[in-house]
Amino acid sequence: MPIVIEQLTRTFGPFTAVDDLSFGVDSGEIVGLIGPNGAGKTTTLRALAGILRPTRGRIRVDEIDLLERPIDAKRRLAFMPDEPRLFEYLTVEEHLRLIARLYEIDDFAARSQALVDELELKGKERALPGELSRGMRQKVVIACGLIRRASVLLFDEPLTGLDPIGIRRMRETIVARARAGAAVLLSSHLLHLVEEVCTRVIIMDHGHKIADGTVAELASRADLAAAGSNLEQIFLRVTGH
Amino acid sequence: MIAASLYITLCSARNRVRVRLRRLREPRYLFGAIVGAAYLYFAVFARMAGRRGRVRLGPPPDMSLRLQTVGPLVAALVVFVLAVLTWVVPATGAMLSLSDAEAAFLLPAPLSRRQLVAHRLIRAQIGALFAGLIMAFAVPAAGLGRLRVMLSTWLFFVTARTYVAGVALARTRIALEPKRLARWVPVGILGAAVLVVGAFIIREWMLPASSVADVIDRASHIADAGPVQVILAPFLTLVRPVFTPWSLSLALWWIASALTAAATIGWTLSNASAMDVILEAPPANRAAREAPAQPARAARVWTPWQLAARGRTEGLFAWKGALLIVRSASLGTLRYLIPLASMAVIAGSTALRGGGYHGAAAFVATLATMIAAGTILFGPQVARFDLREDFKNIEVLKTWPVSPAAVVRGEMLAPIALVTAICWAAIATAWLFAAAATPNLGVAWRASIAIAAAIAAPALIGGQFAVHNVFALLFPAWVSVGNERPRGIDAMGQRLILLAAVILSLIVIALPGALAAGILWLAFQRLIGAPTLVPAALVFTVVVAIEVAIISELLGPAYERLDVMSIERGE
Repeated sequence: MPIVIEQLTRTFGPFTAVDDLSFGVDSGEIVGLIGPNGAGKTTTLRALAGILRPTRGRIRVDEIDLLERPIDAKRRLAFMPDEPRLFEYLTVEEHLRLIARLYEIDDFAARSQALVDELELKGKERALPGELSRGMRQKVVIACGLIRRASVLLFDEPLTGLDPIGIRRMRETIVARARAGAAVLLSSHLLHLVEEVCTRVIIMDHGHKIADGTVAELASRADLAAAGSNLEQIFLRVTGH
Repeated sequence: MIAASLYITLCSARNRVRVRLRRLREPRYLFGAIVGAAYLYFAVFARMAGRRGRVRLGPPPDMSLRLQTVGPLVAALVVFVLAVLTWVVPATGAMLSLSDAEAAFLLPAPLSRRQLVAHRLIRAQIGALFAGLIMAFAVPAAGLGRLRVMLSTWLFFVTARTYVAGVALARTRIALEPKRLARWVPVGILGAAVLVVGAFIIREWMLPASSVADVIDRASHIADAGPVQVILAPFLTLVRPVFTPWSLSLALWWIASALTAAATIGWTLSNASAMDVILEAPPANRAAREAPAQPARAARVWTPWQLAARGRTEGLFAWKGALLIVRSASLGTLRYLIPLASMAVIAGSTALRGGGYHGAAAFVATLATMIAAGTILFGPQVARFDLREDFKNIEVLKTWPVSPAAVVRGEMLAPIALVTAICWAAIATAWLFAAAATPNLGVAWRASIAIAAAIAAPALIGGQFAVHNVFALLFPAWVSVGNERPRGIDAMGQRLILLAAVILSLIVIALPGALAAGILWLAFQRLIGAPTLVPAALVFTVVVAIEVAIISELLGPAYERLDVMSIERGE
């Protein structure tokens, strides 16, 4: 299984952001991580990306322990954060070239061109981040994540700042990558997107996993929702609203 | 709008004080506060108390008289030069920068741009008052004297900051309407003033100065000249109250100073329509606002070399660092270089006279030596193009599959190369002209000293960068990211502790190499003479380089363990 999280706990001083969280994501799966603000979604993704060290617990990427062999594990994953963080003095093309060098991508030119076309970044290759809109910068971050063929894709609010066409293309891109065999973990507040794209949903609240399954499975559980509920109704019910 | 601005300003100031008091619960801020307060006490109050016990407070009577006559003239001349530089060097002025919240709340609000500038002016008052307060404590004066200095410097800072903002607005309006002659009037007046004052400066500075007193005398001669006096009149109204004791004339000078401030504010507000252009970058987006002032497109995307598809991680970081250095360098850099160069010229010229040497070649050699020494000592402190700067991107770097030690080494390469290149250029210049400044030294000595200095420089520079990065990784909470820094006495104390630790660590790093080099020197200098310096410097450099390599390897785990949440964020 490409993503395995076991008893992940992360604290910030006295505050526990994620508490004893365990789950896995298989190849070809798109798992939606949803929950109210402060539920621990971003902390989970950042721990999985190797940005935050877990206070307790284990994370494995493609069977590689992230804490024991971080370099090998990171080589296999791509994290696309909600806030597009770019190097202010590198152009779009230079960002892609940098990632290609970091991940030792051979067919950089072809892949770069394909992504520039796919994400509609044509004509912006020589632009600095300061000259791009927020949506464009988000696209550059996503291009940097997708230029390598990572087996694990982590998206934190991937649609923030994108226009309707961009949103549609991004949905198609995520599904295509999963079909190609990637394990995708996606955090979003856009429940209709999660319902439409994800094969499974994990609902978090106050650092805990409170539900895990397909939308149909969750809807069929009497303790979670009334029969035939959609994801939004399930979400509101399990989070106590 | 004024009521709203005052509300924002006062509430923010009150809450800032609360936050600073609350953060004293953290040991690092508490220690910092203790050290900062102790520093202030010993540097200002204790020294004053000691002085008070021995002699009367303030300078001696003859000196005081001289200060009152010459001081304002020299200060007015300096302010005039800075005022001219503000037009030459592009700067938006902190006053026009909106915070994220201001951009989000005030830009969509039904406010005119004039009101927006007025709001920024009101918000700048707390900072100007605080600057005045610092000045009041820094000058040797009694209780009421301090109040006088505080009020005078507050008026000065208000005017100066407003002027910088006004220049930014006026420049923008000129750029928008270059054909409207009215827009060029301030430039024309200033240009004529520069010609007049420049002629007097050239006349006075035909020969190098012999001492600091000589520099002050000449500056006062320039400022005292009839036409220059007229030009400097508005600047004199701003600086004169600082030097004038309590009297009726002080009240009159304050009125004049307030009128100058009012005129500056009026002029700035008259150009407020250009605010829209200055805020053109998406205002609610911090990243975009923090982007560099946009130079010409060709220069902006100039790349020193292309990144190879394969190679060591260190090379990748060196490439990234080089691009950062090349592309972040702008005319704004002149703001720092011009005062530094001026100080170097004055210091070089003074040192030259003190040594009894003459001629342009000797002057250049002395100046270049000072620049080389200054670069080694302060370069690594100033050129923060390493992990200290890249901490703001740490969330991206941490996701990369690279060896932590390689990241640490790679981050240091570009700034080491930059500072070393500047230092080598200065050493080479000093060596070329050294014969004039050091006629008693033989060719072999001069060459040996220059080569040894060139060999040892990268080690000294690299050692300092290593120490800075050690502290950045081991104590990330103590290192500020980018240009934004935490403020307050506690933060100042933290920086003092860090500075002391850096100096101590640097001595520890340099010691083994220096000892080895010293032994070599003692063993062979009688046999070989001056050229012994070269292998001694080589030994020193090799030892320090090994230490730096070991340090970077040892820092790997620290980088891996680094908690991104613990990095200090500026205010």
